Amino acid sequence: MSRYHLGRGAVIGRTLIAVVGGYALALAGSVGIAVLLCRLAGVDRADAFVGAAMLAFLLWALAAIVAFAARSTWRALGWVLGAALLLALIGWSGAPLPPPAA
Amino acid sequence: MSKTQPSLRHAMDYLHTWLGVLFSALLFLVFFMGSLSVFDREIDRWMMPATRIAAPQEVSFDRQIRPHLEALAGNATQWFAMYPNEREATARIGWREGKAFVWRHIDIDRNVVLPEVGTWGGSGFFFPFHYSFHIKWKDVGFWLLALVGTGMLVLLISGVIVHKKIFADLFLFRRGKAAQRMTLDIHNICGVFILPFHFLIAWSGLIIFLFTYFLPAIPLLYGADMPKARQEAFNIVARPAAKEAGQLASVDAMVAEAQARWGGGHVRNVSIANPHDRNALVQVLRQPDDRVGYETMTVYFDGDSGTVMGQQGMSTTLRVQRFFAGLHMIPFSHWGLRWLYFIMGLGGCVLIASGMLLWVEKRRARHIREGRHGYRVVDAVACAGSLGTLAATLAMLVANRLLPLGLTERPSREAAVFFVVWALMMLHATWRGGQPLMRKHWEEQAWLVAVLAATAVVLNAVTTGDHLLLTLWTRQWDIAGMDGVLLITAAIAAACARRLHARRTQVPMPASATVGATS
Repeated sequence: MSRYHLGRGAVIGRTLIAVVGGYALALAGSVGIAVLLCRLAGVDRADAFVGAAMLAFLLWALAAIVAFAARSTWRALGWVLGAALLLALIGWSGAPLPPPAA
Repeated sequence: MSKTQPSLRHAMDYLHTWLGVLFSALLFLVFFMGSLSVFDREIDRWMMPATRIAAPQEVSFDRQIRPHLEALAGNATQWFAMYPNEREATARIGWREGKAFVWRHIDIDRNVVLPEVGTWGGSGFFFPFHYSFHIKWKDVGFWLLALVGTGMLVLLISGVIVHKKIFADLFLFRRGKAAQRMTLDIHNICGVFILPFHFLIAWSGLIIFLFTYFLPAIPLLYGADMPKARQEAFNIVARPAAKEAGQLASVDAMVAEAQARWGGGHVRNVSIANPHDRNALVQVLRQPDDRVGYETMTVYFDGDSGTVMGQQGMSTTLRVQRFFAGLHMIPFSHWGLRWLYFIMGLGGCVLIASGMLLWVEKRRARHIREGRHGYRVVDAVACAGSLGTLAATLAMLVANRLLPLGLTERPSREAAVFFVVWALMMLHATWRGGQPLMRKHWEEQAWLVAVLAATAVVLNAVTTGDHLLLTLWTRQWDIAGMDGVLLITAAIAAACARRLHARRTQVPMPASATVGATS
């Protein structure tokens, strides 16, 4: 395989996107997906949160992949932060969640 | 898409390589300690000879456990009693003493509290090491684990993307070819065959702690109802002490009631808050040994009257979370699967160690040529991180059999042996790795592992009398299994050391031959 090289700035930037941005995306996902599950699918909030949080770990891993797969550092930042903002917006629009019916 | 694919592979190769080399030592530690934790209770039996007893026929809390708790911890605000089970014939009682939690073992049939075991054992040292690195300060250990766990997922995903011919290469093993080729094949075989297990074990490990990792989400989702979150999720019953004296009713009757509600099953443990208060709260937990999901179906009782206050119930998603927890922690009784977990966990260790070796092999010749030292650092960490960790673990087992029982602070001294030997292995690997092509440190640490493992077996026989022939004859599978694994470890380590020695002395390693075309 030919040498693939990233400059120091790109490495630091993409690492931060993967770690910090990844966790931000996961956290936003645990809120956003929970809101979707609760408001749209009628899942109780405790279930909605746990379900969303389980998936959120995969979002974190995915963010790290995207952080290094994107063609530029700025694109990586755009993808991860964009997705995080979208999920946070969904979360913000629907939280706090109502208590279970019964 | 086809145009971007090669560059995606290069990017993933880069990520896989550097994330791997950065996390490998920690990942190895998590996998190794996790593999040991699969048999934590069996390691306990080996390290705590006094607890090697026959299982009692039946257990009465009121007659056989409570008197000891009254005598030892009459004023404690929290009592805990772990019932004997298939893997541990003693009952464990525990109570809160200030900030610390104190544990003692009871021999139910003889109705005596056993003397202090003087060790943290497998369940108290190797198991917490697996999920917290023994770093309690500001939860740093937990967050390190989150990074390592997520890092493992990333490594697996990027590894699959890098590995284009994943299926064809599955059947490729170039034994005896250039060392780098063979290491690559070992890495790929371990990586691909055990991929589903490794993915699930990393993901489920994270899922166990999701309430810790996504704690900030709870106030956002629950708003003002935040204090209700845990209660709502698990139907938890809790209440403060009334500060008035009360009489604790028969716990055996509560256990019988709980078992009737479960429709049968074994008791995992009983836990009592404020045992002598009018508001005493008794929890009876079920041993989830007949299912994958880690569900204890806790029944709550009013301690004073013995009436049921509630039962833990769970809805679908929570049961899925408990399923993942069970998948990871193997509460179910199945010896075949338990061994498989152990072997696949060690397969993860091989995967990680071979990955580090690949990194070194690819760069060694180039680094020597360019006068750089990166390969030496990684090589030393790989050696001390794998063989050194093994040596430190075995040294701790040897210390466990040598330190006198009455020694003050005995458990922490045992742990100190682990960390001191580990540090020495790191120093040794750095020092011996100084001669570029010699690899003497690997050979010497392999010998040390072999000697320590064999010594541990001999010491167990000498200090407890339970030698391998006897434990096999009397079907003490936990002790026999431990000694057996130690002997196999000694044999493999000695064989590796001999091979390394042969390679080093017979084949003059041509520096250029190790630079593959793929680097």
